[in-house]
Amino acid sequence: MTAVPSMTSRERVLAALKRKPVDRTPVCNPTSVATVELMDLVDANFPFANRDPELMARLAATSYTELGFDSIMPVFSIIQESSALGCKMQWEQKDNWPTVRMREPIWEDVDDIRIPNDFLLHPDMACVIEGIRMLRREFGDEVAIIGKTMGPWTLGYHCFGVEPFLLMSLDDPGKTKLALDRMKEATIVFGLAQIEAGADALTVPDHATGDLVSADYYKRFLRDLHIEFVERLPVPLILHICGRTVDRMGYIAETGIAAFHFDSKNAPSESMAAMDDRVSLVGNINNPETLFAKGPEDVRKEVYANLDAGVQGVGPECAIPLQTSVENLREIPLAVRDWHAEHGRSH
Amino acid sequence: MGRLLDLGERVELVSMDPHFHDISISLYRETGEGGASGYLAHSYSGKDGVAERLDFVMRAMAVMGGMVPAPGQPGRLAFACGEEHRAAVKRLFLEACKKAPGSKVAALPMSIYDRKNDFTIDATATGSGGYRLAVAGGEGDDKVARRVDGVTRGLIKLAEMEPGAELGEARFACGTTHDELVGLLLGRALNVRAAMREAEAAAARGVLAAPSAQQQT
Repeated sequence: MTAVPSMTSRERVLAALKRKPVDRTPVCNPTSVATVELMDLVDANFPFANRDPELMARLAATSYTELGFDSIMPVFSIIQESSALGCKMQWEQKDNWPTVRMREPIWEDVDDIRIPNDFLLHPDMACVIEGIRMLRREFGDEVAIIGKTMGPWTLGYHCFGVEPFLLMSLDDPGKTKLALDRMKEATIVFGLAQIEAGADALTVPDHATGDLVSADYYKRFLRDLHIEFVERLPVPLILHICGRTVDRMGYIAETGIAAFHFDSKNAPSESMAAMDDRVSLVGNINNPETLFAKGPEDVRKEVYANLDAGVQGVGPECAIPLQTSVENLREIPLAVRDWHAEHGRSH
Repeated sequence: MGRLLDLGERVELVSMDPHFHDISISLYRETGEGGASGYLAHSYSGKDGVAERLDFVMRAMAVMGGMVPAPGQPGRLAFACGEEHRAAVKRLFLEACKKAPGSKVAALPMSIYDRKNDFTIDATATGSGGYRLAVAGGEGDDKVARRVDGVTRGLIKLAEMEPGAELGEARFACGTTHDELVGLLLGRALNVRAAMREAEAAAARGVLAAPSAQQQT
């Protein structure tokens, strides 16, 4: 086996997303690794760090400068677009996540869907775009900067409400497809703006989660849309869906998406088999039980299980709990380095 | 260059200190001389006055929990027995952080008035880390016995004690008396379910759920 020359964090992440050789497996955070302790360290607290580009960039940078991850993800939450679309927001405070008040939906029918002309100028959108620009200026080509643009299924939950949107998909699949088609423009416009600002890759969370949405639903409603995202957004895309998703990984692999950010409910080895080297896998370290509630030794075990299975990028399975300890997060890159040292090889 | 410190294992966290600019304060544990657990309250906040606030929290823990300077671990506190007493120290830290700067701090008495039943439950050290809970004049009263047993079991859970030989008895496995801890936890032991619910709610906060799993208020 030929050793791969030393890479920068950015080179490492981008190579892994293309399933090309890397000097070591990158530690990648396609979603958030913000914690209350990191907020204090750089004086950038929630909710302000979701709304002020300087605070957003400062807090996001800690994943690279303090934790030793290979990527920076400044879009901590999943609500920026929904705020810009007019959803009612609950911004919360430092120790909790901002959320959309989905019980007060803004749309009832597909004809209500409107992407405002000044969508990107909304402060919560402009904050992300400017935050990415600042990070690119500060870090150049050193580290991978990952943006985030929400998929239309998630926007449907936020704007129509979870139950009404799911009921519409049962009662009128045609109308649902039309709604998704209209909402997808928000995904694309925001994604393109982040690419232009300097994002190396984009996470596309689209919450067709295993608990409520079947694999068949994914195929019927989302697979083709995700293919379209790959065609229209010219950077590697990382699809994020929470929960048990092995049953739809085959369909996801047909989209041409670069990577899938997968949940710990899916074993690394079965997920690798399902993807069959068509899509990179990133993530899988359990949040609520391991990163939040256990210690570094347990974190290390999960990192090793992923590396043993050949997963292309290691990191938390989803946005980490804000109370997660820094020693557990720092253990992820340490364990990756140790695994490679023990196995004496690149990946 | 990273600014994070190697402080040991984080055992508890207050995400927002209501008495000091909403900073987070963490309790870190490290094993020191002879295997003693040394505890340190720390914050990564750089705000003016943080050191004084942390000093106050540490002094409050010493007074309210009977902790002493940790041998060979400057700036840290330990229990005299050197044991971890994890559950108890977590509760002690949370209670210390509830104290406003400059407020009076004192160890709580080893007795608690049970408003529901209109009697006072007293704890008495029996030696070798053992404690007996009783209600003065309540001997032979089944209702009193049941309540004392319930509170004892609450104390056992909250302080990770061992059941004693008799109902109403519990002991610390370290074999050392911890009167301050017993006084501190007795009040919570009256309603241990509420204490556990509170802990669960605190643990659930700050966890981002998928939209389909979010609890909307």
